[in-house]
Amino acid sequence: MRVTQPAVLVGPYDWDEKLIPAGEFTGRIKQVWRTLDGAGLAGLIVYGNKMDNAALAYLTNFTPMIADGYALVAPDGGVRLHSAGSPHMMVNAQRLTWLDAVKPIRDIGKHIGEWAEGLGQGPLGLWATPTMAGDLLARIAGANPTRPIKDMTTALDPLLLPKSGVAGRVMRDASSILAKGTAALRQAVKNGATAREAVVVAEKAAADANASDIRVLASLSPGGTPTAIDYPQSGKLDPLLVYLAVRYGGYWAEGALTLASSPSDTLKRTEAALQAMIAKARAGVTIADLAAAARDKLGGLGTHPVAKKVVSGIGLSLEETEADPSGVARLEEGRIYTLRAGGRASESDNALLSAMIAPKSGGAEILWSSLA
Amino acid sequence: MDIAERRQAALKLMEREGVDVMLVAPNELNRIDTVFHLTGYRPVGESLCVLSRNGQPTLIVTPEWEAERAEARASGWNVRAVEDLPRAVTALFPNGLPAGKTAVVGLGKLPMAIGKRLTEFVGPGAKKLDAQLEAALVPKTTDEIENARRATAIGERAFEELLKVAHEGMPECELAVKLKLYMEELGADDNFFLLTASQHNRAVQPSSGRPLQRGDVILAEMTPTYRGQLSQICRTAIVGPASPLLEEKYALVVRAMEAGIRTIKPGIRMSEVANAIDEVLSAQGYAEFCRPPHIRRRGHGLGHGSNAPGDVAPENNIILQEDMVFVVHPNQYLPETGYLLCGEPVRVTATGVEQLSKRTAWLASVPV
Repeated sequence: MRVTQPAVLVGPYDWDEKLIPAGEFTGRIKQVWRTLDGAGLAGLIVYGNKMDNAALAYLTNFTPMIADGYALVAPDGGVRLHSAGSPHMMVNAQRLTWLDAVKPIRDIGKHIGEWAEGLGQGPLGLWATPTMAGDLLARIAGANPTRPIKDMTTALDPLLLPKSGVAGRVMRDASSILAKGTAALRQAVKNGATAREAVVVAEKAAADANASDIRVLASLSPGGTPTAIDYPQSGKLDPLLVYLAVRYGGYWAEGALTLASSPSDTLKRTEAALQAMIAKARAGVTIADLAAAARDKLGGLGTHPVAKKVVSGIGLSLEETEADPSGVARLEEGRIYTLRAGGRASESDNALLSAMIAPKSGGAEILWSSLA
Repeated sequence: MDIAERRQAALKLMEREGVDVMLVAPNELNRIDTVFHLTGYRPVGESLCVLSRNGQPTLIVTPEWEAERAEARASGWNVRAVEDLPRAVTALFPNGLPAGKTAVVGLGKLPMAIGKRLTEFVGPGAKKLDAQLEAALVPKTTDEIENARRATAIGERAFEELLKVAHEGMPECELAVKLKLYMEELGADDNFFLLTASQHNRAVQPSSGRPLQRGDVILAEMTPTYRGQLSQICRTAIVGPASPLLEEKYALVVRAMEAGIRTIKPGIRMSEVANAIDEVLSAQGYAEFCRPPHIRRRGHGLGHGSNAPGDVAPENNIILQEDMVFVVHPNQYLPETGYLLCGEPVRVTATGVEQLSKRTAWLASVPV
């Protein structure tokens, strides 16, 4: 789900060797080059920014906290990491990664050119995020006219989808943090908190559980679609729709809640829709089947726009990029997904619910669910 | 000025430049969101303002479900909430954009896939008016000034909170998260918050997991936003008692800042503010530390929408006008003490300057 982007990231992002050992990253780098075998690349540029850094975090654990960063990956596995910020700011940037020396970005086109001088012949590959600005790529290409840049994002993004044992463990931890946040949120609303107060309570609970990042969207009006809380709010909203995402060890967990003092028919049907999807979820099931199960339970209700995409992959991005542009086709074992159910009777009568699941052959492990 | 007048200023720019249509995109990575500056709406997804000299201004936002907030915030704009931004733009101009009469701002900052499609639609002949639009929209609105005051007050309360909750052994990022959430409780909706600590700082940085130690100098740039308007106070605290040397050097940096603030009035150049700060420090033998790599600027503009009037720096010759808002922060590295932060947000008034913070920076101490 789309979320607001903070001006700067604030939270525990240092690399934790016990959580994700260096060997996990070196193994991933080898996998990248196996995937690129035959592409004839001399090296690979991996780009990430504070908004979207899945590929960069996948290989380096590095999350740019102010602006952006680049991993320059040689075929022998050597990695040079550049981060936005002055040379003196690299002290803390260094703590974000398992790599030895983080260098500041002065002129990234020039840095790439210097790095490429030590490489063999051939073009450079690029593994970028969807949020890389067009003029940035043009600047890099312009600074290196003799080195064509080939976008390998489509070939490499699928590596992010299956979760290794380490990644799966971290995502289960992230889901536990999410559960603490959402439990605190429910309790705060029950105690009469305003939307804003309840959200802060949830964020504090997630922060106390060591979330490195927390993003929240909430209704502006009773029963309204969750959105950015950009203005102070004093009133209590009933129903209140909230979306909460937490990040831990680079990996996201997310959930949607609809909190109402008296559950509406819309909410009850949406609960049934999510329950039906969870019951049907297993490795191999098609998304069309899941969507049909949800539609059946929603009856004549409209589908909330947030829940038009009933399933998406989650991991180092809140919404993973699928090989098929239309989205996930069927659930796969080894991946983690968000299931969404959303009913809409009117602008102010909405319900949104979700669950995070790990599908297996005989069913699905539920990592988090708004039905819990 | 209000936000409707700001839109009029953009339309006047179009008239001066002889363009009929202007497409304006934000630069999210660098926090300069011209869409927010023009409309009052801070986007969640990609967005674009379409200004036309002959029609109602249109704000296109993504995703589709952002309609409610966009309509609530962007008064006077025709809001279209969609999933596919380029498609929505092309639908607005079924016969294409007026040849030779189209201007663009910030298109290159859009994500490449979207930017490419829009650039192809716009064609190669469009005027780029990034700098001109920034210059045309400089003064803050009355609401933004009030919001800057509120944001400043939040920052000041957060520093008081820092002095209460910080303790030896606490990871600096834990302290930063606590304070960020505290500011959120007070009404902040975002924060460019840097907090770092060391026995001898070379820079202020995003927080790490390093635990605070006795004798650490904590540097804090508290930069909350209130209704999207940033303000900033820069503060320094020592964990434990301060040495006389640190007290002396901090007082020097504050004196330099005050000298800079005293020069501010409409009609002077921004460079004069920076020079006034440098003079005080140079007179004490720190001239070489008034240049890169030790320091590049003595402050900067404040806002999510615009960084105008730019940096407080010797090379910035912009003429100060009433209702410009910026922070003056010497933020000086001194070899004896390391990097020290002090900074206050100010507004240029009709005759001089208003400091938005109630209390000027002082060297604070965290008890151990």
